[in-house]
Amino acid sequence: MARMKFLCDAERCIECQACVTACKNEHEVPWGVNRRRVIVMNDGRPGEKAVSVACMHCTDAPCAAVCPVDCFYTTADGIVLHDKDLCIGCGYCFYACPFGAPQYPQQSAFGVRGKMDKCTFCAGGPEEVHSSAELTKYGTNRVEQGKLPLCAEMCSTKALLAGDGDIVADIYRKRIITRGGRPQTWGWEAAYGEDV
Amino acid sequence: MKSQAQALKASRRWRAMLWSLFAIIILAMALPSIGYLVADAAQVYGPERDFSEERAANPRSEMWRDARFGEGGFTTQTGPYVTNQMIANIGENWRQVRTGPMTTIGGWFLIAVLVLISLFFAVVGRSRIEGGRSGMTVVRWKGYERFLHWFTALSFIVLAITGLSLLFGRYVLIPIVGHSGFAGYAQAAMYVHNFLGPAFSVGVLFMIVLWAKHNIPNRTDVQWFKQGGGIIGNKHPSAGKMNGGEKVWFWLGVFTLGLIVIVSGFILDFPNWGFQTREIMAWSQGIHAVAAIIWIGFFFGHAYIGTLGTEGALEGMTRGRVDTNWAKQHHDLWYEDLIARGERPVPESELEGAKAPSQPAGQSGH
Amino acid sequence: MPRKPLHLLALVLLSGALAACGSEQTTMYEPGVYKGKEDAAASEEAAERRSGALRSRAERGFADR
Repeated sequence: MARMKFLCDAERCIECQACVTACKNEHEVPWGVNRRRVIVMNDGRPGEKAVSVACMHCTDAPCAAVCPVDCFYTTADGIVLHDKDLCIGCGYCFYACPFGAPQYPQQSAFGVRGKMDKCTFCAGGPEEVHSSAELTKYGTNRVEQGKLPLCAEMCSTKALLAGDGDIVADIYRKRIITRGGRPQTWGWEAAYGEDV
Repeated sequence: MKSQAQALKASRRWRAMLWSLFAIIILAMALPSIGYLVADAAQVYGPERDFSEERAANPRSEMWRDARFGEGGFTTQTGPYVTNQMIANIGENWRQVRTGPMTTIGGWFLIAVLVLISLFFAVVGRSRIEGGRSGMTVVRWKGYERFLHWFTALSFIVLAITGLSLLFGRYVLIPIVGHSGFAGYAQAAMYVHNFLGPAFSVGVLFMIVLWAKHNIPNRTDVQWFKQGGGIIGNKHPSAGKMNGGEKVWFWLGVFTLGLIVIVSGFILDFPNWGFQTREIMAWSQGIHAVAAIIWIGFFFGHAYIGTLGTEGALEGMTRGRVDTNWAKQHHDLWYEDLIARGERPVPESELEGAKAPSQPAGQSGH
Repeated sequence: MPRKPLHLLALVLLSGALAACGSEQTTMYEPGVYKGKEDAAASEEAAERRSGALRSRAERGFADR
């Protein structure tokens, strides 16, 4: 059984924002909602590093733990998805998430937020596979077609890796052996409780 | 003579030993902290770290440690929920509190309060009016005060039910009504909670402003607490318009917990103000929930004493008038003051004759 | 026609109960189509089925050539 994980190789990420654009375009994500974002540290200074951040599909997801309506579920591939029909837009998952992944279409007075939206690992949602309901609520379902998330698949420097955790870790370990240096599996400790 | 000198010597030895032990313990704690007097905190912990600064440690590992500890970077994405933080650690802590002690201790606390009140009612029973009703009543609460009380009370109950549903619904209601059923209710509950909360806050603020003057603590309250509020023993302690217990409910409940719940509630309710980071939100939610649970437990006691616990108390807030015997028993100083100011107790029959002339007197007596 | 009022009541109730089947939300049986609750075993099976394809895709896509 595969266990899907994301890994961003900060030594390779060139902050081109293509993953962000690809995600927005693929899933027709509305304005103001960002399933993926690139964070640059030491911007414009020596040692600048960029990391592409989205939902990491945690093993023990804090969002799922605090959801008052229990709308999160983990698929057999280890992907954390949520049911927008149940979501009440309380904002708790956004407070709980270490990565700031949950997003909402609104931010207005009296806590009106709309339904939460987040990265689905391109695996759709609880609707019927490839139905229009799934497309409008959660975006396309690439995993069902045997494809991996588009952000990672089209990454020009292969900085963003997505797929079975074992294979991702293997590829990353090979890179470390070739180029030297210490592994920096950003976010893995927080998301999966382990490093490469 | 000799034995006395020996005893003196022994006691002195004991005292010396105790004092030196005490000195050793204090010095063992104090001496290592002297460093703080010499070097100020910034020097101990190192200067404000900067990413680009050259330093002995590996700058790259420093950067990744900063990322783990929630340091922010730069991001081009815009949106109300976009953060430049790599990893926020507050969420996991908040989750542990929310799914741990907040639900377990909070839930058992509320159940324990209800059980204790039921036990108290079963054992002690209702506090009756001594010597029965006199049939004469005096005004206790004016119309606008009663409106304020019941508006705030009703919205408190609705807010408590909806708020507790959001905290405990996942454990209590989802197994009963199912996921979609509960989600529909929770959606409504959240909006009712979010829209009613500000209105309730106005009620609480009015209460604080209008009723603070009745609740200023004085020496009578000390006496009242010494006598246990009249629960223990037969003699009922003296009290003014508000007794000691009511003053505690006012200052601890309405004032302190009320203001805590209002401030944290407004922070949660208006994310559009924009200053609320996830840290502020998580803290506000935790404080809001804990203060509200304590307040609800407190409220159970207030509601019990005001309705079931004390005969003749509720009508002061419903009709606005109380029986003179009840007033003499529970708020004697207030009653004396009222009579001294020239207020005249009115018999029941006269009241009803004035209000509803068509109704025969004494029909709806208690 | 039933004589006893209880029988009449039963008839009315039964016809009402039968009418409930006419709702659009009623799940009708169709041979070979699963319409039950979320099937954990089925989704696991599906994940197992595609895991090979996803693995080889990751190896092809991300490994350095």
